[in-house]
Formats: sequence, C-alpha cells, structure tokens
Amino acid sequence: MRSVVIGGGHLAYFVVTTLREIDPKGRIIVIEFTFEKVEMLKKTFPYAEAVLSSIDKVEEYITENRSLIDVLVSATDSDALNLRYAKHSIKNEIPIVVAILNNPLNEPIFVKENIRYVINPYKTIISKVKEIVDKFRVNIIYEFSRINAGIYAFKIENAEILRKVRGLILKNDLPFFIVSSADNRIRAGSVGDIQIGDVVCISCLDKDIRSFLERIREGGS
Amino acid sequence: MTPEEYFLIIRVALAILSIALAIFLGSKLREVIARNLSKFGHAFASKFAEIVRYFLIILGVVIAFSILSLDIVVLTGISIVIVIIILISMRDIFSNYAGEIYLRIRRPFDEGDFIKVGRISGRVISINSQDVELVSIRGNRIIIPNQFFLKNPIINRSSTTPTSIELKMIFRESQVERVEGIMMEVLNEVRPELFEDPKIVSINKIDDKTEVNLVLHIINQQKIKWLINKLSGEFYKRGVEIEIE
Repeated sequence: MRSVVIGGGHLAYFVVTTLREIDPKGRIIVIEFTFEKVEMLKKTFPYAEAVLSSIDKVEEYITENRSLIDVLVSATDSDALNLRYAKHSIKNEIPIVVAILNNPLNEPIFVKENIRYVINPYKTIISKVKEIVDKFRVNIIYEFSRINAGIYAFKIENAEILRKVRGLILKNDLPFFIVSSADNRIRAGSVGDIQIGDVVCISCLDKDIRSFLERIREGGS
Repeated sequence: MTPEEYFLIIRVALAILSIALAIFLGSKLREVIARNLSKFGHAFASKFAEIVRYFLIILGVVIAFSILSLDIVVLTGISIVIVIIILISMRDIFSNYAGEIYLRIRRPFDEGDFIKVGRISGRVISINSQDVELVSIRGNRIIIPNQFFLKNPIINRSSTTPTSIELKMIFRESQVERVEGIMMEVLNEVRPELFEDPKIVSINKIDDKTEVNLVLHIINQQKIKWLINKLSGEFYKRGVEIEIE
C-alpha cells in the first residue's frame, strides 16, 4: 500500500508509525517543506521516504502520482493547507483521503467540503474529562469513521433514564455492556440487570440514537 | 356599464389575482423547499424548488383561464394533450430526474465510491441531474443515465474497500520451480504497492508453458494498469517472456 503523508510535524509522527504498523511492507512517503525537517524525518523513519517539496508543488505531486497513491494523509500544521490538499486529492480520486485537524473548530468546514475522513485529535478530551470526573448523562466514547455509528455511554441517574435506556436497547436490539457502579467492573447481562447508578455502554447506528440523545440531553439540563 | 361588462372585469381581476397568487406562492414555496431539501445538495434542492414553482405558475395560469370562462372543456382538452405530448417526448428526462431523486434520497452510493450497476463497474466521479459519471478500471469515462439505477441492482464496493484482482500469467517456460522462483522475486518488487501479500492460487504446467493464477489486493483501482506494466517489465528484465490475462 502506498501512503503519502503531507507534513512532518508531531501529527505526522503518529500517522507514519501507525501506517508502518498497519502495513510493514508498504511504501510510506512523507512530504515536508523544510530541509531540516526532511533530514530529521529520514533519521526518525528510516523505512519511509522523506521528500522535500514547496507548498505549491504538493498538488502537482498528487496529480502525477494519482494512480499509485492509496492513502493520503494531510497532516501539516495548517488547516488551510490540509483542506487544500485533501480537496485536491479527492478531486484526483485518491481512494482514502484523511485530514488531521489542528483547530477542532474548523471541523465543519472540512465536513462541508465533503472530506469524509477528518481526524479531530482533540475529540477525546471531552469523553476523557467526562469519564475521569465521572459526571455525565451521555458520553460519546467512540465514533466510527467508516460507518455512521458509535459507542455511547449513558449514566443511569434515575428511574426515568433507566426506563428510556432500556426502551432504546429493546426497541433496536442493541449490543451493550454495563459498567457497574458498585464495584467498577464491566459485566454483560440483560436489560433487567441495569441498575440506577450504572453506566451503560451501547453500540449503535447514528440514525437510531440521534433523537434519543437529544431527548436525554434536554431532559437532563 | 352592463352587468356582463361588470362580471368580465371581475373575472379578469380574479384571473390576474390567481396568477399573482401562484407566482407569490411559487416563490415562497421555492424558498421553503430549497431550505428543507438542502441536505440533499444545494443544486438538487434549487432545481426541485424551481420545478415546483413553475408547476404552480402553470396551475395559476390554467385557473386564470378557467375564471375567464374560456371554453373550459376545450382548454382542459388542450392542456391534457400538451401535457401528454410533453410527458411522452420528455419521458427519458423525467425518468432521469426520478432516478436523481432516488439517488439523492436513498443514497445507495456517494461520489468516490466503487460501484457495479448491471454489467458496468467503476468509480463514481459525479452524480448529476441526468446521469452519473464513472471511471472504469481501465480508465474509460462512462456516463450512465440515472434511470438505469432504477432498473438495475447496484453493488456498492465503497471507495476504500480493497479490490482483489485475479491475473492469469502464461510463461513460455516449462520448469515450474524456476517460474515460481522468479514469480516470488517479482512479487516482492511490487509488494509495497499492494494492500497485502499476493496469493499464488495455482501453478500448472501446460505443454511447454506454465500457467500461474494469482490474486493481488489493491485499494486504488487506477493502479491495475501500472501493476500489469510493472510485472511485465520486471519479468522482461529477468529475461522471461509472459502473457498476462
């Protein structure tokens, strides 16, 4: 698999090491704009090819190699550049185009421009804080990128929420597990086993849970 | 003023009012429809809203004619004939619009996905009001009228799903061991471009030739041509003549 990573900063480090883990025999090309960073990349990632390019030549590179690139990850320090390269790659029919955000507030712009895979590295902050402080009504644990689905955690604060969550699970026949409040252990079971104080983690399609999330949040505020 | 003239003025006023009302309602409805259907794409929403607007205006004109008491039977007859002629002459266009509505609402695939519809397969470049543009594996641009999608099953392989390609290679070489050795060498050369390790399905000796069937997994379907050329080139470099099917 030929992967091209644009940008050689700290975001790219995680991307390159992951790509290497996914496909150790694959080809990884990192495009950077400064000579010093290219030299450093060569040392850090001896298995990857580090290419020095000017900002405006990257699109040319993508167009020339469009029939060979399988994955393109735009991970520069600028969201404007990431958007520009991602849009150009999609136009050039690169199968997997990923943009990594620097500023999470820019996410809607990428979505509006039909960039299907946008990684917001800051997203976990919300779910982590909720989990650590252990005070929430709904916590989005994980959102899948390839399918419109996710894993959601609901804290069963009272009988009303217990009834609603049980109803949601039964109505859509959803897989779930319970994080017990009594001993902080994870257990499987039937909906009848869910108790007030537990956290219920549900895996669910977005369309099945969207209106439910709104109802739960409205009820909780 | 005679009563007939008086009624005629009232009818003319009502007719003008009905046309004005139709234009007003058409404009308002266009805004509402464009706003509510924008999730299916702005171009599609504004086009649909425009059709509804014209329909309302035509309706207003017909009502105006009927208020003016022109011979309603004749008017209705003419209108029906005109509508039938339009429908017949533009049935393919309407059918394509219906196809677009289906594609926008049901969303069986998106731009960038790799699909198979009927016997045609390729990557979706654009979804338009009349047609869908694909690029086939061999790089040909294919325009498919939208109505085709209403009549044929669609297989969406998605843009990111790796595709398996089966290649049959015929070597003018009867020593299977030598063929296998060279094959492994060449496959190692192209492996970095593949999604996973290639699989040799079978190696058979046929007369003075050796037939090898192998499966390669790729993500970018545009890579097939390059891969075949690369394989041929690598074998050629090693002094081996092959035919690839």
